[in-house]
Amino acid sequence: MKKLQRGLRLLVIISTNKYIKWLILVATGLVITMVIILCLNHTSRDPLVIAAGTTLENSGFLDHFIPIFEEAYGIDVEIISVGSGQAIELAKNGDVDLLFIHSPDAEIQFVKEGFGILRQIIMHNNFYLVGPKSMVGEFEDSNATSNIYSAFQKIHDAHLPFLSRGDYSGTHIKELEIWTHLNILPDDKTYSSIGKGMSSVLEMANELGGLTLVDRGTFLMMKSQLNLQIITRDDVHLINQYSVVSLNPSVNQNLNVKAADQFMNWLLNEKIQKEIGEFGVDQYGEAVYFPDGVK
Amino acid sequence: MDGIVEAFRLLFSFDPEIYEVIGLSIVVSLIATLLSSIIGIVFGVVLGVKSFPFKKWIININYAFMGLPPIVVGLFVLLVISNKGPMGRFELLFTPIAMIIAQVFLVTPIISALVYGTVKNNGIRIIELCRTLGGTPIDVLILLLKELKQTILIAITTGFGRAISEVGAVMIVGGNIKHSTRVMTTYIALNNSMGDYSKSIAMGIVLLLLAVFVNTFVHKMAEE
Repeated sequence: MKKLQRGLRLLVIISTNKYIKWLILVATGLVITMVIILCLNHTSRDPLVIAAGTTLENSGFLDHFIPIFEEAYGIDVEIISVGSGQAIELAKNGDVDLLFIHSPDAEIQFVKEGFGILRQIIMHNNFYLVGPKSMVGEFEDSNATSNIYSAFQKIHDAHLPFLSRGDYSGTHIKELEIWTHLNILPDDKTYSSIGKGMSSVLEMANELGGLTLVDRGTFLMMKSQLNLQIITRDDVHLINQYSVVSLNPSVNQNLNVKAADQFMNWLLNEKIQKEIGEFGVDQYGEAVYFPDGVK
Repeated sequence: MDGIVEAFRLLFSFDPEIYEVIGLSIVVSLIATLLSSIIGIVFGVVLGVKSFPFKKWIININYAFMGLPPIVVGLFVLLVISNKGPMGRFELLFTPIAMIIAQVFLVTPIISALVYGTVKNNGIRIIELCRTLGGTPIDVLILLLKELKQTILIAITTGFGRAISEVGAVMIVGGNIKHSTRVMTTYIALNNSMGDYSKSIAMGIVLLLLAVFVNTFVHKMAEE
């Protein structure tokens, strides 16, 4: 009896107390919001999580193509935009469902080690060496404007400021390949290892007046805001190849294998490949990517 | 600075992405702050009033945790909720819930330390007064909150401010995914890196106004 009385007293206090009422209101509101968020998180169809190279986001490719895929298949796609190196780590841990990057050697190794099942080449374009107008003169002699090895040698010999992605992304790996080929270990004060995405590094190169390696997509996208121009165009050694790699479901659980395969096949579809080849033509007068996909 | 002019134009252009981002920031930080307040206030009161073994240690750890670098918290939470981590099966990585969890870790020590500080100094007095007048534990709690509400509100506001301004933890555990885990701070970071300064400035203005408004409003309330 006494317990009941105490309980009732408590109830009365709680229901009449101004602060408790306020607190309950706020708490209810927040619980409702939390429930809404949780519901949205789970009843929404299992999303497809893709680790994509920053260059794909920076060029506008993903903004253009992902909504088309989402519409066609009713799948929510979540893009984790990171350097290829980090993408591979995420994929190894099973934190993403698919890789869409441009680091061919690392991708092949990834499949070899059993983390990936299938690697499909989707498209390619080029990397460029870009820099401020004032530096064009430095590269005019020799064949530095068409041979990246000569250009990098020049950068090293003349101690020209160079910004490196420094994040084991596809772009960075390509850069490292060139230095390795020349047997150069860049350790100049003028060599900066940034550790950020493509657009960030391009921005910094612009601000600091330095040289950097950039993919065609990002450069075309940001060109109008920059005071940089193409210094070296090397169609032999600066090919930038993008592939999709599907992950091995026996390595990690909870992968959205179905959606990943659908996306991969969708990208290889003839109609989409054609559209890839037309991407950017309206905006820049020239294509950004060249489709390579064969089913 | 036509970036600033462009910023104002963007703010009133009714771009849905901007409202999505602002909304998510507020919801995430609000929920995190509420959870942290509940835990922090209870913890702070208990710490200020009761005595138990290792109390000194716990108080020191609490103060130390106030200075947890957000990005380190983000890293720690990442390791735990990653697919390979102990809580991997809940698939929390890159979701708003992960962001809330990270922010709770950051905000709770702040609130509990501030509450502890004020309860330690004034709490005993209030509790004894309440007890002598025949109050139940609920009465005691209500009276404590009432008397110390100024400090408690300041603690909650400080906590909210910390939650909504931090960028390191939410970037790592959220992934800055468009339409999903992009908040004001990560939006600013992204657009800044793409050289889209007008968008960053627009969002920066909103964030600034929000932080200032919340602080002013709550302090006004506390003063009554």
